[in-house]
Amino acid sequence: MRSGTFTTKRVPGASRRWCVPPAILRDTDETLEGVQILQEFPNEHGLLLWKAYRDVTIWAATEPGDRLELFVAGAAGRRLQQLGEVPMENRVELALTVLVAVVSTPESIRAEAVTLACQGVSVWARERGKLGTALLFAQAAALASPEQGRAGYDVGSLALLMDRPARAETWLRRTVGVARRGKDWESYALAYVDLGALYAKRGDAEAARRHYARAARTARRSGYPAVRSAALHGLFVLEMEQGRLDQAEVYARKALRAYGAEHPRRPELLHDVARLWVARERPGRALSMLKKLLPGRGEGQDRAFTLALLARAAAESGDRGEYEEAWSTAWLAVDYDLSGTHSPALLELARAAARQQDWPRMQQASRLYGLQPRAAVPTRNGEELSDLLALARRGD
Amino acid sequence: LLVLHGNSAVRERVREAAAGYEFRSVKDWQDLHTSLQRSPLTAVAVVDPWHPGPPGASLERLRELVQRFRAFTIVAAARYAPERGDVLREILAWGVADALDIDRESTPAAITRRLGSVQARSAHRLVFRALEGSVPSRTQALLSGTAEVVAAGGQAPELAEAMGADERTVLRWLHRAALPPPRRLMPWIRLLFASELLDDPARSVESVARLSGYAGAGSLKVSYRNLVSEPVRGLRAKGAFAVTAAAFRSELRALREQAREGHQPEANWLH
Repeated sequence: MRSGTFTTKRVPGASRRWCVPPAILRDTDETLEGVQILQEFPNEHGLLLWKAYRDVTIWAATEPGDRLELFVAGAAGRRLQQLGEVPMENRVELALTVLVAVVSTPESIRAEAVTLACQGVSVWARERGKLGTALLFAQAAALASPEQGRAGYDVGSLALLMDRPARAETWLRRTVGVARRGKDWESYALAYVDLGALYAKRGDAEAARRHYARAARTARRSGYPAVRSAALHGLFVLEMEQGRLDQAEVYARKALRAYGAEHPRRPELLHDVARLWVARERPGRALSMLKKLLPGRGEGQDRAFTLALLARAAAESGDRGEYEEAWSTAWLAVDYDLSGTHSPALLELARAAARQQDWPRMQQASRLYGLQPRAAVPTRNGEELSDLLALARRGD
Repeated sequence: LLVLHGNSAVRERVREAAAGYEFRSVKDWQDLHTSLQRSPLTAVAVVDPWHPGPPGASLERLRELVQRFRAFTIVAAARYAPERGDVLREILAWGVADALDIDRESTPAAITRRLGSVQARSAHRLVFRALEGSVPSRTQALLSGTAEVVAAGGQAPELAEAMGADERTVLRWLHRAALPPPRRLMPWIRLLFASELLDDPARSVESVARLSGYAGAGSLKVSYRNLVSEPVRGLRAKGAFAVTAAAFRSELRALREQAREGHQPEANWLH
């Protein structure tokens, strides 16, 4: 009976507090189950992935005792033949081959195997930037093994990444319940970290702080330093954005210690520390840090933001040459984008130009910032920009 | 449930899966058009997109069908080989509700699931159309689950079963989400389905009641009196769905106000 929401069968004899409320399985604009797969893979892979996804969802929605006659006899042979005819990467072919067993032996295939195979496809799709497909396969993995907290967390985390807050929230809260029941404290803490990020993104600093703090506490008690550092990093950025710079610095130090030297997110933390230094009016330190980090910032949004921050740090230090170069390169990287992804970079560019009393550039950045979608422009930044523009007009 | 398919095995399996539907196999596209004209909006057509029919390619016939009967649920049942992905995308873009791959899914159990899933999606869309504005995520999840159970003809015990909890727990979840209890929420959703049908002037109140799961016109009228406080005749003139949806929203607003005044815990879910 279930399809739009996702629940877990109640454990017989378990108390009411162990029942976990349902999660959202689809957004209201989703007209057909799995249609994003066909949209993201407009080639032969698309149909094979779509069929595999739908097999898992129908299998997971059917009671184990009723699965024997779910699929047509001989369907698995045809599917294997199709898999053989369509060239694809080994690891995804392997995962899809495992999922053929959902059709050939639906009554006996183990849920864990189905979950692992779906997670494999999800990771593969995510690496290719096909987030809709990644989300659907992560969800299929969670449907196959509803008791696995980690599988539910993956869905919530991907939904958050795709900016689907309602879906993310229900999955992450569900993960908290399932993980607590299974004493899976890593997934439990991870879900709290992402809930913190979700509320921070929506401007509810108090809820974000509470969730990050809970994640940090659980991770420390249960011995998951990587999760603890992610929570501390979240708290640091939250406090910095709230203007509580002393508290932010305390969390930044803790997060740096917790990440250690080799953690893959350490450069991101150092970048945020550079932001803190700019905010604390220590532009010299920020400038040297940002120059070191720039080569690793890749392309697109991240690079444009780092360059914009570099321009601001240079402007604050009074280094006109460095400012000019960073500002121009950042402006090229922003490339008149109107999607809202470059809003933070544009704000930094406007601040940098204001600091240098470079009014033409100040107006250039402000105008483009004003054209960004309203959702990408926090109110307080809009107000700050109005002040800067007033300053620019006086400067003219 | 109308079926247009050249494969007799598929027709037979759809018939087996059609418990709860009135089953009819139609002989050609023209017959399908005529049958849909006489059918309620709850009718589902399972068709072979490549079923022969003049003139030219039969996919064109499917496009005509979907365009002409937009309010109906049309499921395209065929063999979808990997190289037919573009065809599938195209027919789904026309507005086909679902695609049934007869290579794997033409068992009665799978067809039942797929039809149930199509029905659930329609129910989901209808309820969220009634709500118009933004709904907190937890409320969305609970409403979506409830709409699907109502669409399948379920009551409060089935809702609890579908949500994997006992009835008291579901009651508590709904209360925390500032929603009415199941025994009031489910009649509301059923009434929204009925109102959608009632807006079709060609339909009698008796047939609307029967199609929406009421025992008869009398119980539908009682339900309208209890929940919307409007007689059926007046509703038709004003737009039954719009009036019912407004009354539903107003009840939800009142419950939210009550919850706010009572400072219920966990009331801070995202909108």
